[in-house]
Amino acid sequence: MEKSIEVHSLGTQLSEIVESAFFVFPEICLLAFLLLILIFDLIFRQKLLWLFTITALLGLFLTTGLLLQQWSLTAESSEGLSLFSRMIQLDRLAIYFKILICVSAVFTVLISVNYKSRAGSFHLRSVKRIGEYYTVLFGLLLGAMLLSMSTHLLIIYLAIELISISSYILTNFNFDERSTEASIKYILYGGVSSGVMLYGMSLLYGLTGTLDMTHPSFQENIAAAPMILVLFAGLFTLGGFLFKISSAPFHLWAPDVYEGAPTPVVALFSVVPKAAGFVVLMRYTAHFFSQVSFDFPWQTLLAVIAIITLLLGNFAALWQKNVKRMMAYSSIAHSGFILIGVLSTSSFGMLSVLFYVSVYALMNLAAFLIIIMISRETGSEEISQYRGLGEQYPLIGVLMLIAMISLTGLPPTAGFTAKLFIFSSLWEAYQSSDNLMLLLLLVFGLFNTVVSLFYYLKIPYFMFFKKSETTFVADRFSHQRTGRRHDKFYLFDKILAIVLIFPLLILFFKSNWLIDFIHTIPFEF
Amino acid sequence: MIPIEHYLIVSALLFCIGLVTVIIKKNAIVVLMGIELILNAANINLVAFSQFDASRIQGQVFSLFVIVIAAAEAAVAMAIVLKVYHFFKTADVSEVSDLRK
Repeated sequence: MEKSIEVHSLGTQLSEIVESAFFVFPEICLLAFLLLILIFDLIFRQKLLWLFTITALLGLFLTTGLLLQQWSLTAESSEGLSLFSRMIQLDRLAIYFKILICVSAVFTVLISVNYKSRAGSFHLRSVKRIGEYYTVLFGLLLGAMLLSMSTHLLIIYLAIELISISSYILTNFNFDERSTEASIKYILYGGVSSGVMLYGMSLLYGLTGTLDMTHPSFQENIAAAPMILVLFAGLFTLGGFLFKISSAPFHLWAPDVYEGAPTPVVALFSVVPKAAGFVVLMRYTAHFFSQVSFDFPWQTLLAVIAIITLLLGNFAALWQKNVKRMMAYSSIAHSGFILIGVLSTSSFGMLSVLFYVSVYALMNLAAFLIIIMISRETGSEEISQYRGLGEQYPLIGVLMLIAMISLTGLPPTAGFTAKLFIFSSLWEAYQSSDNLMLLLLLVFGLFNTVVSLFYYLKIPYFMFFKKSETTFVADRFSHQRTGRRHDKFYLFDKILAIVLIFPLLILFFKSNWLIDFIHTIPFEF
Repeated sequence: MIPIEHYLIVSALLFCIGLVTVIIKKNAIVVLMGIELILNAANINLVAFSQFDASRIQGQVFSLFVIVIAAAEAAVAMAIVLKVYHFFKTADVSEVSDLRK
């Protein structure tokens, strides 16, 4: 008797899996291209290097197209689809982040085309490992796309590990001492934090008897469970997410990894895993924290985490001499700002998070692109090497200035609009809850914006107001060879930088273009 | 039948031993062993809690996934430790500190 029921349920499960497969076409497409690149790598090892880049771009464009189609198919009002027997949740929030992830990946691929590491060991025009690079990159993207759809603890764990393991490999892609050191630190911190997260998840499973966060019994049992256990389980699980968004106290890996890893990979790290981490954090907040019945001050807790993250990120960034290391602390600080939007738990808070993450992706990719261009020119990533570059190359100087102003959050850039939304959502949350911690967070947030002004504007200051003491070696050689000084930046890179910077100005004046887009996303906290 | 508390005590002990190993040991391979202990502590929890699950199987399947992922992670970690040894002639994490200079 029992057996026949099981067979029946197996049949329905199989048909559900087949039906669900139609809704994950973008992921299937990405996976197909991952395998294609892997096969190309076996066939065309060491030759036809451009083919890999073209294939990777084609795969990403196709995936983005499929995602856009998915966006237009999902109705605005619908709650989203539960696929694979409630394993993943496909809603507009997920699709929005998946599009953001794919677009950032396109720019990452374009950025890495002209990148050359210090020892020249990572240069996509000559490297033999280009196939492996794109394979692992696609693995990371697949993980990030899965993570933005997941509400099931098993899928969250699998997706986070897929992102992490790909990240550990990508960190090492310079194949020199520094990137090896970065990756060993990354894998040790990452392994511990994912282990702790897994232990928290196992406790959550024990408390609720289900792994599905959207399941009614998950929320009922969380509300009924003893406080101390829920606290432990919840905080352990939260740790894994905080690691992915590089927020305090799990931020220790970020500076070393950002400094040691290849710069295009760093640009990707600062956007894609972070975006995916914030989606899962929002879902976790909605399904777990908001369900806790007793008087657990989770909003205060998140506010404290955000304050610590902001202070650590901004003040540590002040002392940095290496640009990439400074950007690492800056990205930690930005995580703090986005956390503010998450803990507001209102539809306006969600809107501000989405807007901030999108703008953050643009300005970070732009900043890293210019860092790559300048480090190819000067052979160094030290801020002191930026002296006088603004006078020599006005276009690059102005683009860097706009990127830095946007990262600080000053008008007339989209960075200002993003910060404005974040702070107004926080003010709204404070008015509705009267939690003093939120007011403190607001004060600290504004104070930190001022602090960040000092280190962001240090770069344009060096570029425009400090005279360069020496002409660069590379420059002198080209001077002797050609008889005239010429701009050594690739035209391709310059156009790419303008394409990335331009929306930052547009979105300040026409922020409602993106807002209208985001407004069609239903999400309930 | 063995009561659930026994499993939980063993897993909590394993978790603590793993965490302490991670914190106090400097050798990268020993730290990785600590990470394995943490993962297996979670596995014991998952399998033990699985008997109270309505569908009975979720926790056990989860632990199978964890075992596979732990193997994949260990493989990548070992490769990186080999590279570290190649460059620094040591597997001691505290001596691997070229960055931040």
